[in-house]
Amino acid sequence: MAWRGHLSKNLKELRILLCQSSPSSSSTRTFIEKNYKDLKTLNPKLPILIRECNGIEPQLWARYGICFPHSFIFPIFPCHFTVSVKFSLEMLDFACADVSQAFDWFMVDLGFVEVAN
Amino acid sequence: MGLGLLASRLIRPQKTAARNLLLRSIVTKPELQSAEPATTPQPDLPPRTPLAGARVHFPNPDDAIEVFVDGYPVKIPKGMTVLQACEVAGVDIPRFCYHSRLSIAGNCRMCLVEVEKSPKPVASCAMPALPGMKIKTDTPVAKKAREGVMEFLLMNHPLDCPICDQGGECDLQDQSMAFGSDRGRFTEVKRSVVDKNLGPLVKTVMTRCIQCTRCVRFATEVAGVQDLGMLGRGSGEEIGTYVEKLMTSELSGNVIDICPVGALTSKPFAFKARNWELKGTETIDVTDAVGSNIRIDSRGPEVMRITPRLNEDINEEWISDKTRFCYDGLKRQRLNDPMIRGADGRFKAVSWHDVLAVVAEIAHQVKPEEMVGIAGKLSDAESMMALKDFLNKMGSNNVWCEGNGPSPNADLRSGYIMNTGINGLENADVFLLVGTQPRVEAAMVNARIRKTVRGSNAKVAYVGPPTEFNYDCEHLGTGPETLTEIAEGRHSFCSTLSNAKNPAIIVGAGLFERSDKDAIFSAVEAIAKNGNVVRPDWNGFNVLLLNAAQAAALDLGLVPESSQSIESAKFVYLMGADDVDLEKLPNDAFVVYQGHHGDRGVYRANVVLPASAFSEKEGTYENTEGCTQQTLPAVPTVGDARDDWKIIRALSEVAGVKLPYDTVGAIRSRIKTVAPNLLSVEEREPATFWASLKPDATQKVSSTPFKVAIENFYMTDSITRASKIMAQCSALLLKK
Repeated sequence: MAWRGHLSKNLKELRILLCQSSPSSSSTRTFIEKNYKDLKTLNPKLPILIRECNGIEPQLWARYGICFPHSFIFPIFPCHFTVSVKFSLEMLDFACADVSQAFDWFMVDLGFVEVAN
Repeated sequence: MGLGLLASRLIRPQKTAARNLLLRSIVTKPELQSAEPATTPQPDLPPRTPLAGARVHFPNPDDAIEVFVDGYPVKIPKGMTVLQACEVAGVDIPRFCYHSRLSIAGNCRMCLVEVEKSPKPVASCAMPALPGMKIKTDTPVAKKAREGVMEFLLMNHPLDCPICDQGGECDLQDQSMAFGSDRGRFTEVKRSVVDKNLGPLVKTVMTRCIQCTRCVRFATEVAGVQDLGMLGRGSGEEIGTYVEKLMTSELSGNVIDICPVGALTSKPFAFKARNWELKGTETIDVTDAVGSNIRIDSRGPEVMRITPRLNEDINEEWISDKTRFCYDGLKRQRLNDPMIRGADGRFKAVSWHDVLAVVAEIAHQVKPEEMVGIAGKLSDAESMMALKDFLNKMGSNNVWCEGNGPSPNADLRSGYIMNTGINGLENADVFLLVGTQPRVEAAMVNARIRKTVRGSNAKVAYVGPPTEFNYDCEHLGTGPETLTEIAEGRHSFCSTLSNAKNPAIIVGAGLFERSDKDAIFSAVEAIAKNGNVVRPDWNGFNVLLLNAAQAAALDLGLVPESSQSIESAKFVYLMGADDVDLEKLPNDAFVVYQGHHGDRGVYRANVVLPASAFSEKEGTYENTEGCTQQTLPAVPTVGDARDDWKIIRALSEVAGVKLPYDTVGAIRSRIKTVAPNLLSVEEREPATFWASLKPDATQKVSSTPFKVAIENFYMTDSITRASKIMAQCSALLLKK
């Protein structure tokens, strides 16, 4: 998929938060096991931070840097990341394509549920 | 010691007080005159719970035996001593020589109890409990025995409690109040002993010594130095070093805590305060990456001393000398006002308002990629989050934490934390130390390795510069080529590793600074794979970090975009970073130093922003095993200093990129979206993904041998470098 190689062009940081053991994070764990190596090989400089914490809902966050001076953090699909791996990949695709929306950093952080849904 | 129970029982008025003073000659308390062995258990005792919440672990349920303590039945595993059985039954036995983490000496005789069918009182600390044993701790025989022992101990103990630093926390003082006689019968001259010079940390008044030998056992067993010993016999018995010699252990301060009397006390704390004047604050140590649990004792605005707190998973009940004695550095070289360097090169104190305006203006004059932010060794997670958010919002991605090297890989947590856990190291049977000397890098981890080596004869081997360990350690080589040999199975150590049940590899964080870091890590990962070090039930791959801030910095993603950003920087924000190499920094670069000490970073700084030290703020730290802990403010801040994250928050507003948090709570909710594990305080969040996910490294290892990561154990950061005591230790104890 083409979007994988372009990730580091548009993104400055990708963060995946998940639980070590809960069933709601299981598809996220599979996602990492299947895709992390590819993503990292194609984007060796992009930090893909995988953070485990007991009892949290899986989340995927991306930080954009290209639209300076309005660099902002934009959460992708925080709630439904686990529903299906395929769906979340589509969301990633969407994230890479559509970065020109200049969300205010503060607004996005507070209103991430509206943005994500 | 929790002796309240027994003490109150002694104070309770006795009904049968037939006091005839004329008959009182030999025994001090009349009711002990005819101390007959007790025959019937006392039924009026209230139900008891084990002391200090002690729990009993039964390794083999078949081996449980039942004993009776003061008539109460308790189940204990076979092999426990009478004293331990009493503790499980909730009875605190007075003791001087017995210490649960040291071997049993049985020489103070204070723990004598009565055991039914035994002709004389038995020393409970050395007597194994036998099935059906009837132990009596509160009978006239036991009381008389304690009183007698007490009288003998006090015979040669000086009556200098009013000038003794142990006063108020002295076991001898407390127990003589609870169990001793109400008057002395000793009229001869007391013996006196020459004081020993054990170095700049431990003060000795050897006349006060009661020869419990706890310090001797601590030095040989836990600290692993053969410095202390027992000389002479009878009344000539002395603790000493035989030839005059300083105690050269990095754990020597712990003898102060274990000494039950005032023979070994803290030299820097001598005559400074009484323990009841001090306010204790339970907090965390930041001088290394272990995160030892400490209590800061303060009086008013001053930190008076630092003592350990019990945490079985991290530091047990010990702390290193650096942790214990660095506190005088908190009072010296402090930055207390915001300052700007004038044209003459001198700093001039200005107001916060002015200094923030200047910094914000200059930050807007430079290009975003020319901005660099560096967090220091002692930074807490909150301030690092604020620093990263501030620089990111300004458009820069060059933010990192010193000690993590030019190109850290923060993707998988298993790649930079101690996956086994400090406590888990006790289960290992083979250790391979790569480029690390835990004795100076993390003294508490070294104590744990030593405990394992002593307890289960674990084998230790190391690759790195030749150094001294305080346990048997095989030197395999000095450089990465040895690692390659082991990884390729050409080394004799491979068979040891593959035969081990729970092998543990500990990689030093000093390797982060090397340019061939990725290749070395892939070599270590290959060794781990071949040696079956990482299994579902055992993860023996460990990274031993050097600084308190490192783990949280990597968790928060403080990863620089470019590893050469210093060379082209025009605006450098040093948040307590003193050990960054600023040689290559262009001369026209503007340097902001935010920190609590006038240390190395200040020499190059254009602007100084005073911040609070770890003893003055509430901050989150993650230790090397990935356990999150929080500090609490023990003393007020100095002068006009502010918490690190508050300064950055204020600066962001002046610079027009306001950060969306105003409270510690709000900044923690921000951290929740970045590294939520930093919010599970006092929990260790294990990492699930192992390095096998990583793409293969293309780097080649260089032949440069590994370097020593820490040259001077006593001076590693701005606080310890400002400390006079640490300077004395470096001068006296590191002498070759």
